[in-house]
Amino acid sequence: MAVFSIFTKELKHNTRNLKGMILMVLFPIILIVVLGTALSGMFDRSSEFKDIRVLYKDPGDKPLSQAFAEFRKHGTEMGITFTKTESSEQGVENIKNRRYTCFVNVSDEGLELTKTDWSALKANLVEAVLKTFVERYKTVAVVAQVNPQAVPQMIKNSQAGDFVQVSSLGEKPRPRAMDYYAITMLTLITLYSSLTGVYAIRNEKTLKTAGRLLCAPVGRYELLLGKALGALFITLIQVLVVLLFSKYLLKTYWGEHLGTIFLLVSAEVVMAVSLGIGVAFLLRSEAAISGVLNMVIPILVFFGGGYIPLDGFNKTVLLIANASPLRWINTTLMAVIYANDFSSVAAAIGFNLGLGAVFLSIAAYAIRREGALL
Amino acid sequence: MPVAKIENLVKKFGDAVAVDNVSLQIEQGEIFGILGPNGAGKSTIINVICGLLSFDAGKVEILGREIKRDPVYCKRNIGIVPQDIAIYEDLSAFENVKFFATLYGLRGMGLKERVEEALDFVGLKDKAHSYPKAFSGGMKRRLNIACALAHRPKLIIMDEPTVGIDPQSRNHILRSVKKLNELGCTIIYTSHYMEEVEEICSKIAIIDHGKVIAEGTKDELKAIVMNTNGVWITVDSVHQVSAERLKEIKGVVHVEIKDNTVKITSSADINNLDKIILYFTGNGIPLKNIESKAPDLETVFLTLTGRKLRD
Ligand SMILES: Nc1ncnc2c1ncn2[C@@H]1O[C@H](COP(=O)(O)OP(=O)(O)OP(=O)(O)O)[C@@H](O)[C@H]1O
Ligand SMILES: [Mg+2]
Repeated sequence: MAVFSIFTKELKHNTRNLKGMILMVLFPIILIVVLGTALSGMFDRSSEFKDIRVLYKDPGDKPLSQAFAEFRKHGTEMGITFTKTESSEQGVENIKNRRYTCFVNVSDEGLELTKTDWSALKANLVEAVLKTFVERYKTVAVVAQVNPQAVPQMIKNSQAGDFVQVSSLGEKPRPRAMDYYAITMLTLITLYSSLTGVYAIRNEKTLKTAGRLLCAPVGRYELLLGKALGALFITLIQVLVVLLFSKYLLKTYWGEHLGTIFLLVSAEVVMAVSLGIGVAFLLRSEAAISGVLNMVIPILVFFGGGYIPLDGFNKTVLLIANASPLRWINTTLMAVIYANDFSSVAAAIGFNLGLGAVFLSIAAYAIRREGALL
Repeated sequence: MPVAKIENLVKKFGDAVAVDNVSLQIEQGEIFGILGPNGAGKSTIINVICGLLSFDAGKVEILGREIKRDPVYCKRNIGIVPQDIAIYEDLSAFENVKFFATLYGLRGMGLKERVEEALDFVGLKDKAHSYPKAFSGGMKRRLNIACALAHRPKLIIMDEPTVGIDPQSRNHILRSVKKLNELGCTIIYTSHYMEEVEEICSKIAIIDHGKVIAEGTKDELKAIVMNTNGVWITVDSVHQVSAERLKEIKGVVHVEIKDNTVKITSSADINNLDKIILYFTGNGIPLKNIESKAPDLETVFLTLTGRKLRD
């Protein structure tokens, strides 16, 4: 009963806190719209796939013929033009002549992709999409380096032949800017719900109401539970509002598994709110608390790929990045949304909930101290 | 059975002893005043009684049950009005009182009635749905009191409930304390305003440096200083007045100079008024007014500690 009273009181505080609402609801929506529009050029797939002409030879009865047909279908939607040829020699010749971006030969051995220097950038793009598309199968890219003076040198690249889990690309193979920032901004702002956790604890100190609460016949754990649940609930509502707003009004793409998306973000909410509560107990001064959070949050966001995608960074960075609970959430969200890949969902949720449990345990330990709230 | 019983209470903050072997017994129906200067240990004693602070030695019992053994029972029967206003600015007056009432197990139909009763009691019924942001200091103080009342505690503890407010609100509060007492509540009331304590308390303990230095009814306390006389002399300028010289006069125990008034306390058995007046006229200081003062709690404190209650 006391837990419920405290819980509803927390909801009142938060819903009446205009600044908090703006930070948690309005701010992320504005960020998604602004970044999504301003940076849309970076993500515009029509320009990237424009003028890509793929020449291919596919007798139609090869092991990968079907996969390649799928790829053609989606490729066409993306703006790639496909032209069929009957002979491989003619195909390679046409690449050297720069008439086509690349040549794909569907044979018994798998897929063979031939490209030249001048179109390397675009051909790489095709190769990348093709690789992801038929990851399950053996894809061999044959790169023909065309030198104006010398005879073309054929290099066999068998690296892509690794047997990777299938990842069939959905209707939208690549996120638009708006889609990318909807994910990263939502998960970024979710980290700021740690402030809701801090506020839940600090508020009673600054208002001197903590003494009153502790004089009431209410256990310290009931107090902590009511507060944690209140902060969690209000943040979940805020996150849900942003999620639904972006999905239905901004029409950003969240994939087909909104339930899973919400679960993942919820795990992050638990982690962030608990972080705030834990820090509020560990540090006594308001300045120290905001100092720590203002340092920790941007680090988590950076390693979570919240500011810029981390794909281009070296191994060490990526290794450190794995310690960021946000990184787990972001990559898993991407995987679920764009590849229907659920393999890391449990780990991402587990890691975040685990951290949350650690922070809450710290709070539960600290609240037993006599002056913890005074 | 006493409503509250404190035996040999010791509370330390680190090495500092805030409460030093204090024993108090508060009986049913009393308004028990705890009087003492800043830092005397009043709030500390109170926070121990209501279960907010632990203590180093001694025993605290509420309605016959030990607070360490049975904190929930003890807390249920206490209503606390903290020294610092403790209310939520973003909850209406009604919501504030209601929230604290639910922590004491109130719910359902009775809850609303009790909340309204408490607000009515402090004269905030028509402000029930306003937010404390818009309240004056006095109104906040009254809401602070209402938050302690809705669960109808047997013992109400008020820690300086009138600090920093206008006389009107103060009178309202003092009246409501008396009314609560008439309704059957036992009250512990701390203050460093002796007039207040003198006005409403049936029993008084004077605390200084964490120790009880005197305890009893108003009259019992005044009896301690019945053997003193006070004389207040107003002059044009106190420049030339020397407290040291005045103290040399036989029978003078204390001299205080404030504004243009010289307050002199002397033993009652020595008649030295002529010598005092002679001091002034002899030094060419014209007298504007002479007043004789009966001893009050201030004098009691002064006599016992040699210091003023308030500076
Ligand atoms: N949490 C604390 N930590 C350390 N010392 C404290 C603490 N609380 C009180 N004290 C000290 O204990 C002594 C008694 O303080 P207390 O607040 O009980 O006095 P008080 O009589 O209520 O004074 P006031 O009239 O100013 O409210 C003071 O010396 C104070 O500095
Ligand atoms: Mg005090």
